[in-house]
Amino acid sequence: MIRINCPFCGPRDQVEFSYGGDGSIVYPPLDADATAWHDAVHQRENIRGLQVETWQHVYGCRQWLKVERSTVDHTIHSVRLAHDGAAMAVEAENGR
Amino acid sequence: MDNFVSALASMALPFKSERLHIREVQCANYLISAWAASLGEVQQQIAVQAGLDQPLAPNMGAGSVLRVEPLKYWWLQAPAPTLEPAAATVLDQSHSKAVVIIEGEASKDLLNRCIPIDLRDSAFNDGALASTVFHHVGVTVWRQADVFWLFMPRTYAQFLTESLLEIAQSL
Amino acid sequence: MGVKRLSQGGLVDRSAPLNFTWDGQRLQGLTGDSLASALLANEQWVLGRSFKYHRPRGVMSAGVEESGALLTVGEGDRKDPNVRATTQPLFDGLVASGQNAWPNVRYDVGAINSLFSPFYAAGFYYKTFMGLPPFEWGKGTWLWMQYEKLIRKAAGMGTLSRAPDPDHYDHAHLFCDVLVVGGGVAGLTAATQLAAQGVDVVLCEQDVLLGGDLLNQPNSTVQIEALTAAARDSGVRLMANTTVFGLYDHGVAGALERLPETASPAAHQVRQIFWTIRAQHTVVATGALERSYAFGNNDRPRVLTANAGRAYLNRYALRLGESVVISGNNDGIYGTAFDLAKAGADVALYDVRAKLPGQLVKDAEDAGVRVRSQSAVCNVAGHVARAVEIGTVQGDGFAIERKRACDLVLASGGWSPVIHLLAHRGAKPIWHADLCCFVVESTQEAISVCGSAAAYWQTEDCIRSAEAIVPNVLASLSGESFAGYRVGSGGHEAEMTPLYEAKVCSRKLKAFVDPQHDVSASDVRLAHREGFVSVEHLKRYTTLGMSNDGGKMGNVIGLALMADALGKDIPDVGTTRFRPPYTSVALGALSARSVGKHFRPLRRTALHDWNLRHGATMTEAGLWQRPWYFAREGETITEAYIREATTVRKTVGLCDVTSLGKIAVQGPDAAEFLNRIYINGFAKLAVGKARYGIMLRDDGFVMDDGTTWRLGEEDFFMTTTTAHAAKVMVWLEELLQLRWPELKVHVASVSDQWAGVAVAGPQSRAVLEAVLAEPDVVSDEALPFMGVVETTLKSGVQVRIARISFSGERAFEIYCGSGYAEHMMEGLWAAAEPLDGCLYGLEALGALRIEKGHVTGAELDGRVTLEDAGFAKMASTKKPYVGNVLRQRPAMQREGRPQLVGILPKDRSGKFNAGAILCKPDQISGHGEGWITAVTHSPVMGHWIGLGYITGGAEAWQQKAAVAADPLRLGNVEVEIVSPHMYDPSGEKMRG
Repeated sequence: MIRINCPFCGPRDQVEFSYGGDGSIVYPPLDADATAWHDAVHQRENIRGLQVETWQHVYGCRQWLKVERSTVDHTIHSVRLAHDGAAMAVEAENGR
Repeated sequence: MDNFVSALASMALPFKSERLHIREVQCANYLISAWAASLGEVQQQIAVQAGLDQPLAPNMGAGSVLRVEPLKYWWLQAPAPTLEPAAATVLDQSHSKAVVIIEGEASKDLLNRCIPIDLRDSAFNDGALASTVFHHVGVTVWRQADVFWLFMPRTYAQFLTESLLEIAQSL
Repeated sequence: MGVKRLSQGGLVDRSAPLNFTWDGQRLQGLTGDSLASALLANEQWVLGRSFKYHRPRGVMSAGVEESGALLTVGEGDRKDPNVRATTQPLFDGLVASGQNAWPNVRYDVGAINSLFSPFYAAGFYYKTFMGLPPFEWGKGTWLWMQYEKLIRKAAGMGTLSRAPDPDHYDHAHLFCDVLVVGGGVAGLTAATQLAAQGVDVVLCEQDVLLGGDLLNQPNSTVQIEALTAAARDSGVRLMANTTVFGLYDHGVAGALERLPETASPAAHQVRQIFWTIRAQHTVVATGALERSYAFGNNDRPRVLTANAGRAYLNRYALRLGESVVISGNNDGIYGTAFDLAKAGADVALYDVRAKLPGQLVKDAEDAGVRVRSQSAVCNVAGHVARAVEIGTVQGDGFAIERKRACDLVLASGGWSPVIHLLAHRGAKPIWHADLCCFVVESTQEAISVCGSAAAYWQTEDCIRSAEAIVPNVLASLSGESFAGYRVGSGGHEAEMTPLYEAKVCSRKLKAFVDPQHDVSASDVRLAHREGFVSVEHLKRYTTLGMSNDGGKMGNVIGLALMADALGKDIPDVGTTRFRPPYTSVALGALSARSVGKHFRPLRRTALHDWNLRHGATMTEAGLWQRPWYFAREGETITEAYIREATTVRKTVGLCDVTSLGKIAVQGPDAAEFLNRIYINGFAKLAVGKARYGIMLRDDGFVMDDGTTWRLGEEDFFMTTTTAHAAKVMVWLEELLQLRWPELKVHVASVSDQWAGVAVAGPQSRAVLEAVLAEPDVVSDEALPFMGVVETTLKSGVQVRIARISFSGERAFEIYCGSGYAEHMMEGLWAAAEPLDGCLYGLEALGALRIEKGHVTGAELDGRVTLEDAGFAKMASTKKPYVGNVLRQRPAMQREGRPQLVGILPKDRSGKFNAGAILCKPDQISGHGEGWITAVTHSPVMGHWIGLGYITGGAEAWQQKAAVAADPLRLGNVEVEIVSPHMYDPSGEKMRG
C-alpha cells in the first residue's frame, strides 16, 4: 500500500485513489490525424525510475492528480492537482 | 417534509450505549461549485452569508457550510445562498445523502474501524472534514467540537449503517 | 517426575487455576500460563507428530519460533489448527488437541514412516510419484494429482473447521508519529524517551506481557513495572498481544491484535483486530531468537532451546527437569544454568568454546553447575529424551566421550536478531561472523533498529542502543535527513565459536535443521549433492524454512551447512528474504467485516422497501438490488415476466429505474462538452428536449449510451447505464480536469438524489395525468416523444419527466427526490392498478427491450464499434468527438465484422441460450460466426427470441441457416438471423 499526499486533502491511503495512466501524454485535438491519436492512446514508455502518472482522488476530493512516482521503490516525488486553475487556487490558499 | 421517507427508516436508530450515541439527522444539501477564476469571490460570499469570520480552508466546515473540493461546497440548510449565477452553479442534492451524528467517547474508535482517516486531534480537530472510503463506498466525515457527522450516499446508507451499528455494539 | 511447579516466583497466579482439556483429558493450569507451560506443568511432553516421519514432538521453545508444539485449539466451528502452544495464552475452558496423528499423538500409526526414513529424503515424493516411470509414462501430471491427495493427507497439518467462522474480526486504522515494534527493554526505553519529547508513540508487543526477555529473567518484575509505568506515564500507547506482522511502503505496518479469549465469547465480542498502522517513523526493537544446532535426535521431546528452559523457570515457575544438560556456544547459556541450579536442578553445562567466560563460569560453578569446555551434546537417546551422548571437539567434528542420563536437554547455537520486518522493506542482511548472525546495518527508509534486533546482547547495551537512536528519530520526524544507526559489538564476555552441527565421525545421526518439516542435516547435504546449491533452490528442494515458523529456527543452520558443503563462507551462500507475515495471520482477520452479507456493498434504491412490500423478488445488478419480477400467487418467474411484459404492451406497467446513472452537467460550456463526448450533436438540443446519445472511448469503441435531457441553457441531466455510471462519471472528470481544463463545466453525480420510475404502455399518459398537479404538461402536444418537463405532483413534490421509451411503447420516465420516491410510487400505482396495470421487474424489462432491439451492457461489451451495434448513422460528420479518429481504423471498418442482429429459432417451439456460439451449419467449431448476448421468451411473438452479433449482420444471413451451438447445455439449435428490431420497427407505438 502506498500513501499519496493529495494537495487538497493531505496524505491518504492508496485505497482512496484510482490509477489513471501515463501523465506525460498530451492528447491531440479531436480532429488530429490517426497517427497522433494512435501514439497518444497506445504508445507507452516502460520506465524504470521516475514517471509521471495520473491518479484520481476518487473517494476524496475527486480531483485528478499528476503524481511523480518512482517505479523502483514507490517513492513519490511530487503531487499536483492536474487542473491548473484548481491547482493555482489551492496553492495560493496554502501559501505556496 | 411530509411524505419524506428516510433511507435509514428501517434502522434501529438512535443507537445508545455507554460510550456511543448514533442518531440520524435530516439536513439540506446544496452543492455549490465555483469556477477557478471566481473562487475568491465565492469564498468571500459564502463566508459572509454563512456568518464566518474568514473563508473556509480546504477540507474544513463551519456553521453549516463545508468545503469539500477545491471548487465545491456543501451548504447544509435551506435556502441555498444567493450567488452571482456566473460565479457558481448551485445544485440541490438534499436527497442524495443520509447523515448520522456520532458522539461519545468511542466515536473515534468506531470511525477508525470504518475509515482510514487520521482522527487524532493534531490532524483532525474541530471543523475538519474528510471525504474518504468506508467499505468501498465514498463517505464524508465532519467533526464539530466532539461530534462527528457522517455523510453517506443515500443508496448505500442502509448497508453502511448496518456495519456501523454492528461495530458499535462491540465497542 | 521431572517437571516441578515452584511454590514461589514467576508471573503465574497460583490462586487462579484454569481448567482446560488436552486430547480429551481434563487438566489444570494457572492464570498467566501459556498453553505450553500448562501442558508441561502436567508432564505432557509428546504434543504432536512431525510432518513426514511422524516422530513425536513436544515443546521446543517458549515463543513464536516454536516448531514442535503445534496444536489444534478449539472445537466445532471454532477450531484453529497449527496453533503454537508457546504463544497461546491459557484460558478457562480451552480445548486443545493433537494433530497429524492417528489415533493420537502418543500412539501414532503413521510413525511407521520413520522406519523407512532413509527413503523419505528431501524430494522423495516428487522423485517417486511425479512424471517418472513406472508410475507415469509420458507427459502430464494426472497420476501425481491422484497421489498428491493421499500424500497430503498423510502429511496433514491439522484440519480446519468447514463451518463458517462464528467470530467477529475488525479491521481498524491507526495513525502515530512513531511505531515501536517490540516491548522489551529497548522498545520501552526508546518509546518512553520519544514520548517524553512530545512524540505520539504507539508500541506493539506480540507477547501478552511487556518486558521482552526480562520476563525470562529472575526477579525482574520491579524493573518491568518501572519501564512500563514510565512508558505509560510519558504517553506511549501500549498495545500488548499485538504482532506487527509486516512493514510496507510509506510507513505502513500491518498488525494483528488478539483480544482476550474465552471459551464462549459474548454476542458482539471481537476476537482479533487487524490494524493498519501509518507511522512517520518505525523503531524495530524486535529482539532476537535463540536457535538450536543440529545434533542427533535434537527433535525429541524434552529437548529445548537454552533460554526456553530459563523462560519456563522464571516466567512460569516451572522447573522442567531434575537432571539438566545444557549445551551451547555463547555466554547466554550460563544464566539458564545458574537459575536452574539455584532452583535445585542437577545441571551439567557443555560449552563448545575453548576460552570460557571466567566470571560466568565461576558464578555457575558456585551455584553447583558442572561446566565442561570444548564439548557438546551430540546425540539424544530415548523417544522422549532420557540420556545424551557428549562429544568433545576433534578436528571439525566431535568424538563421543560419554553418555549421560538426564531428563532435560537445553541447547543453544547462538542468537538471530529478528530482522524480518527490515527484510520486508528490502534491507540487506549482513553476516557478522563474530556474532554468528545476520544484522541489518542500514535502511533507506525512516526505520531505526535497537536492542537485540541490532545484535546487542546485554540489557544495559540494549538500553544504550535505544537511547542512541532517539536523536535520529527526532531528526527524521522533523524532516531532516535520517542519519541511520550503527551496530555496536555484541557484548559477550567471551567470543562465540560457531556451532551449527555436532558432526560425529562415522555416525549417521538424525539431526534436524527444520524440525517441523523434518528437514535434516543430511537433507541439506543431499540437496548439495544433487546440485541445489543456491539458497533459493535449497529452500524449495528441502522445504527448509517453509514450515510454520518460516525459518526462524532453521534458516541460519541450513545456510551454514550448505556453506560447509560448498566450502564457502556463509555470506557467499546468500540468504532468502523473509516475507510478511512474521507470524501467521488468520484470513478471518484480514477479511474482517467483509464477510457474509457484508462481503460487498449492497445498494438499495429508494423504492427498495416499497418493491418488497409489493411482492418483488429481487436480483443483483452489479451492487444494486433490483426487482426481478413481481409474481402473483402461484406464478413462476416465466409466467410472471410474460404477464408483466404483456401488460406493458396492452395497458401500462411501472418499473423502478432508479439504478440508472444520473449526472448533472452544468455550466456555460456544458453543451459544447456534451457535443465533444457524444457521437451525435448536442449543441443544438433545445431546452425541454432529451436526446439518446452514444459515447466512444478514445480508441473508438463504444463506451456507454443513455439519454441526456436539456433542462436549461446551461443545465443538463445525463443518464447512463446502471453498469457504467461510476465509470462515465470518472471519465467526464478526467476530460474536464486533464484534457479540456478550459471548458467551464461542472459535473456531479445525482444518482442518489433522484429516484425514477418508468411508466410504460399505451395507458402511461393516463397514469401520469392522475398524479400531476397540471396534467396538461404531458399531453401529446406539450410533451411529444423525447420531450422533457419539470413539474409537480398534486402534493407539490417536484418531478422531472421525459417521454422516452426502452420498451418500445409510449412511455415516460419520471424522477423525484429520493425521499419522496415511495410517495410518488404510491400515486402512480394507485392510478395504474385500476387500469389493469402492473409492476414489472428486470426480467420483463429485458424481454421488452430484446423485442425492440435496444442494447444494454451485454451488447455494449467494450469490443463493439458503432457499425457493429448499428449506430453508425447517428454519428455526426459535422463535428469531431471523442473516438472519431480511431474508430476509422481499417480493422474497425472492415466488412464482415459481427453486427447486431435478432435471432429466432427455426423451429418456433425451440429454445436457445445467451452465450451460445453462432455457426454455419456445416462448420460448428472454434469461434464460429458470432454469439448470442441475450434471450427471452417473447410475449408478443410467442416464442424464444434473442439478440447477438454475427459476421456481416442480418443482410448477410438472409435465407441462410445458422446454428446456435451450445454443446454443454442445449446442443445445436437451428436459428434464423433477422433485424434486431423485431417489434414495431418503425417506432410508431413509442411516438404515438
